[in-house]
Amino acid sequence: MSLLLPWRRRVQPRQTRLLRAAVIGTGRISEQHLRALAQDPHALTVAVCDLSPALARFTAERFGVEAWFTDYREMLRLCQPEVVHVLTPAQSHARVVSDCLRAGAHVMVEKPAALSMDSLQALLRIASQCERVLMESQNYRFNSPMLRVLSQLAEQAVGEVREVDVRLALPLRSPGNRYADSHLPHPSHRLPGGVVHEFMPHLCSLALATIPEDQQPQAARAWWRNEGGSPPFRFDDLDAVVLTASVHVRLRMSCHTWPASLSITVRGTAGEARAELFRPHGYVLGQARGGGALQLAPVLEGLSAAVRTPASILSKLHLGGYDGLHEMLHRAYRALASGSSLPVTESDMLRTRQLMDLLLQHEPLA
Amino acid sequence: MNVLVTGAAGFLGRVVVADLLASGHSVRALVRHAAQCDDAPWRRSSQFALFAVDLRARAVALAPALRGVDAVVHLAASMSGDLHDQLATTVLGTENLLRAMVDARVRRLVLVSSLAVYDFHRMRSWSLLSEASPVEQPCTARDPYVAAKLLQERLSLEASARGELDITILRPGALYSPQKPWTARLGICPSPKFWITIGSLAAVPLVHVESCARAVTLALESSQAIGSTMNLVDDRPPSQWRYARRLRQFTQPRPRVLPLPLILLQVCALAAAVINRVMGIQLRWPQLLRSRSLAGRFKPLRYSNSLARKVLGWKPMGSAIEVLKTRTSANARAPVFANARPIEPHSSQQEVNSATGVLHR
Repeated sequence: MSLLLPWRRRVQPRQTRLLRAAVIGTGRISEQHLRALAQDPHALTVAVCDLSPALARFTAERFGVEAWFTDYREMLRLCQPEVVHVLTPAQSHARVVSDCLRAGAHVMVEKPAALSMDSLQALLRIASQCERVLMESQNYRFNSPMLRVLSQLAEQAVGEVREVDVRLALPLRSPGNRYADSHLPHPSHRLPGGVVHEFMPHLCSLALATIPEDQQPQAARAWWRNEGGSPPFRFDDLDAVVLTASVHVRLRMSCHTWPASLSITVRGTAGEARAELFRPHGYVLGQARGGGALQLAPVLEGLSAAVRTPASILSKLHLGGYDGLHEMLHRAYRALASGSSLPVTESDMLRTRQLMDLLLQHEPLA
Repeated sequence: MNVLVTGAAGFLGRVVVADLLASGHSVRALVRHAAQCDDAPWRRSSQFALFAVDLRARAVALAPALRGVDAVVHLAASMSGDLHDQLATTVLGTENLLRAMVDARVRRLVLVSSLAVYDFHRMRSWSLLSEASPVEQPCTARDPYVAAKLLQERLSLEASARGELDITILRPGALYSPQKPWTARLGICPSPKFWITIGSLAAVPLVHVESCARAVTLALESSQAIGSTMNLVDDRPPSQWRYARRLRQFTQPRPRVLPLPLILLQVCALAAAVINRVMGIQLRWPQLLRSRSLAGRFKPLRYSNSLARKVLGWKPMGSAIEVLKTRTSANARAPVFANARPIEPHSSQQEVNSATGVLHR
């Protein structure tokens, strides 16, 4: 049963030392943060905050949180949380994150943590001065299929990595989608890369997780387009190629294809690893598995999918593709409680930001 | 009376505006985009003004629309989407509206909620559903629509308890018209040519959209209605089986119908609940595999409209079966779930400034 239900392994008896957590912003992603906090043996959620009193109160009631606020500074002063989850639009991160760090709280911030490398470095400096930590959510790195891929890469199951292909399809232009709402445009449309900008950290962090740190980008080319053409979208399509000394990286995002999908394929000198994160499934095909008789490869691939399917369905029904966020937060709280390093390091955040800036330099196609 | 109607471009909103105008009131219609009302017959009435405002915006400029208004009919709400979509539309919109009403010193509010807020799961089969019946607790127990509607009611009732508003809450059943006769209480309609009906003998708590609009107008005009919550359902609502059969008869081309017994889905829902219990987690099953959702849509109950009749002097239209006969050969070909005209967000209609809500007559 535990193979089918990996999330059950995390349920442990609560310990006496609990980190007091607070959440700022009660939008869609807050539900996953609050669910993860409710299950974490190291966390106790003490407050939530939102500009809307109705939403702040409803969220507090729904998750059994004692206090709710509409002013985050008042929340920081009265509740003195040890960890704050900043889940507000990216444009507000610099102000809110620095206030939280200065108030003495560690910060978990939704992506993108900052709008530029300078801004990110400034926040990291503040964190260092305040002896607190700042962690950007790079949740899809911790989805179970991706963890399997990373584990196999660490064991050299595909040999040396030569190609990485990350593709994100989100039908954000579909009628009724909140990103397509022209009456009340989503805040991400105001980012330099528009709505694509908001999802770039996923593409970049997934690709970088599979590449050795010494592989620095040597050349890059990005094509930004607005294929739908109409506002509020600035861009709805990104196609980017990045070359390092020995790895060829392709990053692709589309807002006008269906169904939603986030996939990564890593090809190496001795095999291939693949993960689909929205419909949880992953497999690794090494040379040894197909052996000399390559005809077996499709059979093995099918068997792998069949074995994984029940767990995939259950995982999707349970966490809707957010199992990585839960895993990342559990690791983060365990690290904070034990004083060990966080699952997303400063180096991870800086590399992701560097790659994003590299791609954002390219002019959009007319 | 000067009346502001939110959600005026919707299925009910259009009819409410028409009824208010016919009753001699002046109407200000609040819509997200002016083009939504281009084809409305009352668009050029001298007693009508249009405001293009999005209630969801935190800094929404409602003062011009509320200036000189005597009462507000609040219909704007989300009918679909997940919990966060519904909260962002229904709850935030209501919160912003109530704040603006208090600032503008407009006291009278008629809030149109829904019969769906009751706890059908807890009620015994064939018992009488009335205003005294329990509502879903917690509000998220069934589905996002019910949660948002209950939160909307709570905000309004709290404002009333603080002495800021005089409110009436109306809870209509399933709204229908000859042009839009389908209701989710019949089953699933994957396409106009193929229906899956669920259940058979339970009464469908229908209310004709024009009857509902009449009740809204009567509630506005009645001082006795202040502080009341009233259910709106037709007299003698038809059974699922009878209504579906008659609807099929008046629909061209005739759809194929797959009838599913309610008990079959109830057994599946029970199995899903057992899986959740055994595993100790909350798997998010589809709504038709959740007992509460099934009860909310298909449980056999009896319905009363006596309070609305007594307080408002309301008389609903004739039976839905008779109304369906007016589905003429022309509109029999219209989709059974036809809704208001599709919205073109960037239409050439520029008569109303959406940013400032400038008045246009």
